[in-house]
Amino acid sequence: MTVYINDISVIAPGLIDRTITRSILLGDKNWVYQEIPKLIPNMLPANERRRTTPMIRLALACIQGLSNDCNDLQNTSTVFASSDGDFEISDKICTALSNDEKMISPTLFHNSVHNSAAGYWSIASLIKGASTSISSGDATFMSGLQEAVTQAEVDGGTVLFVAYDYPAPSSSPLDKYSLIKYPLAIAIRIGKTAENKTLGTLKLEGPENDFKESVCRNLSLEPLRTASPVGHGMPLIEALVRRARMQVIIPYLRDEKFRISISH
Amino acid sequence: MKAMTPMAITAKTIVNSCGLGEASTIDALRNNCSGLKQRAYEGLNFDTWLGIVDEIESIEIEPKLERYSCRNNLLAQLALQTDNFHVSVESAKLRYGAERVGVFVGTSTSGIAETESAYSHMHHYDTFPDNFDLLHTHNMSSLQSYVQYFLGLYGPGHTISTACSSSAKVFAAAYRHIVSGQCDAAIVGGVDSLCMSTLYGFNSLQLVSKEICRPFDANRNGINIGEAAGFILLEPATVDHSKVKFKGYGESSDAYHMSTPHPEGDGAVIAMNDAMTRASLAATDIEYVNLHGTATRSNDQAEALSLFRVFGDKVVCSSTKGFTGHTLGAAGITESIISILALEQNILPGNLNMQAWDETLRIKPLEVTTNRSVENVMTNNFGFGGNNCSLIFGW
Repeated sequence: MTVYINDISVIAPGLIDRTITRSILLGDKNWVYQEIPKLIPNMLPANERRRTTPMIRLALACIQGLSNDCNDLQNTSTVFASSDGDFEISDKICTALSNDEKMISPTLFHNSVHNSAAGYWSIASLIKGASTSISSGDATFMSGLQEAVTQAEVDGGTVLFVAYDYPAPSSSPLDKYSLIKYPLAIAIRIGKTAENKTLGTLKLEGPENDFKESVCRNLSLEPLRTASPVGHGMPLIEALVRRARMQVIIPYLRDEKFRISISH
Repeated sequence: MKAMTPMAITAKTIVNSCGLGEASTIDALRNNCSGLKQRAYEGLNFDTWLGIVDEIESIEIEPKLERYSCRNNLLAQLALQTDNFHVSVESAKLRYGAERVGVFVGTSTSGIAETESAYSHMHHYDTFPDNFDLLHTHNMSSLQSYVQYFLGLYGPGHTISTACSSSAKVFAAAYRHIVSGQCDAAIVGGVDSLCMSTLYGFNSLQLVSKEICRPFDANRNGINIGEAAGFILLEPATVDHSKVKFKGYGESSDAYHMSTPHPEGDGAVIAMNDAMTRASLAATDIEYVNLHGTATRSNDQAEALSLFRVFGDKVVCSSTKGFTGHTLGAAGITESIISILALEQNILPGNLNMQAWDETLRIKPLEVTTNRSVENVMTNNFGFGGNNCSLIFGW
């Protein structure tokens, strides 16, 4: 399966300013941890904006980082991929349920669905296309990318893929059990046709057990790659920004990996 | 939009409060007999009717899969061992190879009941239980991973979690993976089990009825929550033309509100029309629609309007949530299997519990289960976040 990568966006601690992010991904500068400032999803009406959580705002801000010159806005479908969804919401709901009153607010409950970020994005964009929200645990990035490429291949149109993971609040007992150490969101716009800003084509091969997982070319990004399931996507983002023809190996289910060949 | 290549339903299993296996659900449908009961459930402090699968209490997880132990995966196991489903899967493994059979499953809350229990444990003892396992119970992917290990399947797959449309959308994902050559066949399914998050959550929205749920009734006042599981083996129709086929899917977003459907049912209309386009069928070809029909004021009103816009007022339809309750992330697979049973058994399910039809809806569901043989049926599922999916099954 071969598709065009028409735009990418990434947000993580230390990857906030676009120019600096680009320098880091090109290997011209080292990555250093820098907290993400409060993100404001201006795309949403104020009443909806107030109800969003940091995880939802991270996903929306990452999509907002994509250019708007997509040819095919109304014919866009979305694939949202997150390993664990919103720990802050799980923590608040489970804490409330452990008290005698067991009071959950309506907003807390509707934010608890795994497709919360997708729901807010559709309200903001008014796009009525197909939208899926998935998890595959540690394989979430690759599973999401596979589903997005498959949708473009079979159903056509533009597919907006966004993968995001957000750590549990440090005050939550879930923090000890979660594998997510840093927030990270990656958005990729995929299509069967090229757009003005096309970064290249992407071809999926596999899965195979024998492939060896890629690491980041810029070794200072390694802590981010290994800090969450979505982190597995970092070598792909690096390769796309570097615009060099190359192959990237991304882990999938079990010990399997996909080989992604990029042509510019 | 391209026409779909039909896929055959070559095996299936269904478990819900009507009982274990196809025969129990068929009996319930034929006899207009609900699985819902007004009963207490541990930890629940308000009155409602529930669709409980009591048999979960009496099964144990296989020792090698102990870390996956939670009510949701036990319910999955119960379904996989019902109706000889695992035997059919073994045969598919022999034909295709374990790595060529995909697993696409839906759930809205996975094993979050384990996390609820852990917080309750912490409330009393200041610590989580020793055996708490976030990734293998609470995480949405627990279901897909458990099903793959239990059945010994090594093909592609993921868990879809789009609230109440989750296990309808699995058909579209599996279809796309099969036609693009990433697997030869797929298990599609869904499981949702009772947990406090959804019971208290829906109650906070004042959407839970104290009475038995009455879809499309003038006095309907909310849902009853049920637990359920179902799985289907999906194969290219060329392997067996004698089976009911999956013919079309339509997926859409309301782009309107997180927990209230679009008032004119815009997203639902797109989903239904896209499913018919992919199935190369017209509205007049759809002889029965299994409604999402949750029995909330807003769902039934928006859905009725969307149906009217697509089919006019003569459409034959019913909600089967009066039998099973709203099984949330398992509603898609449950109602898909009920639609397939309707085709196979030559019955159209009645809209159980409706006493006084809400005439303002203009769409009048079938009151009781009726004997009729039909060619093509549709099922609708809509979820929070404005996520819609319509599927078409037929001969």
